[in-house]
Amino acid sequence: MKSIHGVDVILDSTTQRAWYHGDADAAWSFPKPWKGSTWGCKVHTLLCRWSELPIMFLVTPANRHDSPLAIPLLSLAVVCFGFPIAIVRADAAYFSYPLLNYIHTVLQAGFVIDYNLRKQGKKALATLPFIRQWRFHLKFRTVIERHFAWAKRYFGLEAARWKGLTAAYQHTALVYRVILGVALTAHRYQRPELAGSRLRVLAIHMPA
Amino acid sequence: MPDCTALSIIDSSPFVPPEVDLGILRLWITPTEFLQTTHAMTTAAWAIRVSQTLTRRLPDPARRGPKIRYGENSILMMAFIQAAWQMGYEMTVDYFRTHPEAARALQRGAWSASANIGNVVKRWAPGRSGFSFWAWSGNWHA
Repeated sequence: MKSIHGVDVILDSTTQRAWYHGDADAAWSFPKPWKGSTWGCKVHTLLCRWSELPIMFLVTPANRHDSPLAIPLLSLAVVCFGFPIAIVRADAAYFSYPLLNYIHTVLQAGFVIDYNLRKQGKKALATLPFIRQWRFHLKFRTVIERHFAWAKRYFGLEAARWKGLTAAYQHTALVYRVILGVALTAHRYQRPELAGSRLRVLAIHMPA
Repeated sequence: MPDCTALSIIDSSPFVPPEVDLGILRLWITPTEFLQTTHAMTTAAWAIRVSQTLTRRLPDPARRGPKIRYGENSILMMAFIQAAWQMGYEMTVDYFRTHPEAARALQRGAWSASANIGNVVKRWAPGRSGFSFWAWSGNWHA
């Protein structure tokens, strides 16, 4: 059975659109060239790479940066579940020296965190060996992007109709609980290949 | 001609599709099985207990009517089914009203009067301890 090992974990966040314009706990996210800005919350998630299931999450307004939430997420995962984290993967938003020191000294784990060369201005150039290593090490981080896409498309992560940060926490907890429940059910029925498929595990079209 | 197989492929009803065992492709479990498989009752009770430990429990509001019949873990499991099947609140209530066995799976013994489940009132109050669903079987507007 493919269970949650918690050895190889991935950090990332995604925006969650607010339903009400007057939501006091929502905020505009930093605009991206390919997406634009989003009014709502941000779900910071710690994901197990092998099982592709969420371990821990935190919700903040959408204008918060990613890196301050990394250390609380990792600490909660270790304290609550005792996972032996060995590798932490993240994108360039998490490249901060306090986080690297925390992973190296406290967790005694390795990290594969993207580094943005623009932090050094135009002096640093990406060489071919750097690009080769970058492509090899960071391709495993796509698991969490796929997880967010599935959570929004099939599990309704963005279908919150409530107002407030507490309601966003409750909705995200329910959605992640459903993801874990579907995976658990698929494993219990000896069908691990259906662990990520809500439409094949649950009887969506229920008889009247 | 024993070698000729042309007659063997002629069926009496050629337009009937062949029977396919869809169990190979999907599980399609019901909400009752989903609750039992994932031990939803145990985890809901644990979640309510932890949330009330971490946050200060507010006093119960003054209200009229009969006593509260449904526990918070039952309401949490109802919200769990609502999120899993992505149903609206009315659809969820209608489903549990028409399926007493599913209502009984929410809380054994406490759903004897499952016909009154339509009177379950959901009150959304962010900031309260735990999941802010209250349920009672009286008339809220009385």
